[in-house]
Amino acid sequence: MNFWMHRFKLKQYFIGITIAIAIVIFHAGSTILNIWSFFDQSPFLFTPFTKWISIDSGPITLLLFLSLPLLCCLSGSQIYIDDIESGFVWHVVQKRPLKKYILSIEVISFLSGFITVFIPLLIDFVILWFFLPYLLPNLVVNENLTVLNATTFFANTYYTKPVLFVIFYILLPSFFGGMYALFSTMIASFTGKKFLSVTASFLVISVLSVISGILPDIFYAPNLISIASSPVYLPNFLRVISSYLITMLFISIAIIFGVRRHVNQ
Amino acid sequence: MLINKFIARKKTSIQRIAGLLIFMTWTVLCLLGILSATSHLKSEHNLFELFFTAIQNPRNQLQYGIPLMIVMALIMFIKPTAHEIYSLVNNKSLGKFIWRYSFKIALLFLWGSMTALLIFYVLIQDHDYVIKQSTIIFSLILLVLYFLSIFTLVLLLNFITVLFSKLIGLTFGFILLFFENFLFTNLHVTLFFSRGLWIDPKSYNSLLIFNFLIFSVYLYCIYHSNKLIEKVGIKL
Repeated sequence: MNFWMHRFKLKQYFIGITIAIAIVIFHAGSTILNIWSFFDQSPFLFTPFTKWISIDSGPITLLLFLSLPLLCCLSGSQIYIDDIESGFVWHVVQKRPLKKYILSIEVISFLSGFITVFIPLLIDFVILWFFLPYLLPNLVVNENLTVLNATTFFANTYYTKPVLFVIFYILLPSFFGGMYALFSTMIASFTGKKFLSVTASFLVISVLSVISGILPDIFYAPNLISIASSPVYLPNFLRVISSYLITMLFISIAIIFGVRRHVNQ
Repeated sequence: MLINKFIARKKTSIQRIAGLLIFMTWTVLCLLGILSATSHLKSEHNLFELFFTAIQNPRNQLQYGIPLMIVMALIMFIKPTAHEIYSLVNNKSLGKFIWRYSFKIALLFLWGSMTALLIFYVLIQDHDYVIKQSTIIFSLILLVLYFLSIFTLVLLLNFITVLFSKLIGLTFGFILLFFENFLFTNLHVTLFFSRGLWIDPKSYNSLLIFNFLIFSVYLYCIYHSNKLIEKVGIKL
């Protein structure tokens, strides 16, 4: 564990999370400044639950969620490609079993992608929670919000248990963030190209976003459906979970083959 | 000249496959764009109008088109190594190399868009979509503008990639994109992408000329920055 902690001292593994935090701080700051003068008039409209980045359907929300596949790959998921480029992988496989190394790479990659999304979304909510009145959303007062069953998973929870709703919408994109990072490691294990591995997730997800607009019954874009007030119609939640698990399984197995192929060359 | 040819042909199989995949992806994206634009056009059935409405839609370009183009262009560009840059600077052909490479990449994107139009025309078999001969010259002007906008962007990204790295080129590309997005949403002005048929009809002629001029100015500036690039190239 100590060994991996030491490896994380490099600044390059924190580029993604730094950019994501900068975006959410900009969002929270601009939101608070914009609504500061309206606080006394209508506090029900400006609560942490109504102005949180995932609910607030503004351009910054779209910017953050569209760039998440790229940001998640600018994280610890680059450890494997760095090992390949520096030749460190040959040293590691002599000292410890290959299976253990692959498992560590997969876990680190997933967790770094997960954290890259989890922390910024949490920070945005916490900043708004500090500054805005803590009032629960109301179905009548907040009817202007686009929290509908067609565009939001468990939309009813937003009005009954909003904290649970926020936790769900922090975890959902975070799990997808882990998947983007793992996908990046998979591309790295097969191609050995750093730039390709960083941008592959972004490419695939962007193409998926376009295709899902044309064929919404067959495809869905993970970055768009993980926005609480999603700009697209949502697929069945069970379909999302099953496709997520299948994709994760496929990626994990592919990484094993990719790394083995590289090491056994 | 030899070093120029050597770098242009120096490609691994992965890079060739990536190039092919990128071309196919771009073609499919343009085809999907054209298909989705068919629902917006009810009264007009000019094929060229449909094409330019699809590929030059500002929203599509800012959210999907240009970000994907930035990433794809950078994947296709093979950054010369330190030795190669040294040889290119010695031959005074570093600028020429980047120009030629960028031209090829921009041409590939244009080719992909045109292929998508051709596939649509062949597959749809709909007699409602026709080529109006009176709009051919105007369409060619729009096509040249579209190509110039791609070429300028790719050229700029490649220059930055050679000077620094692909990741910095990518960051620069995205900062440029956000700036463009900001300009478009707040002032309805764009600097680096051609809006084609999405310009307000009242200001069409002036904006068309403005677009031609601004892309020429960009290319002129980049061309004359060659000497600066070669000076910097010596230090690389």
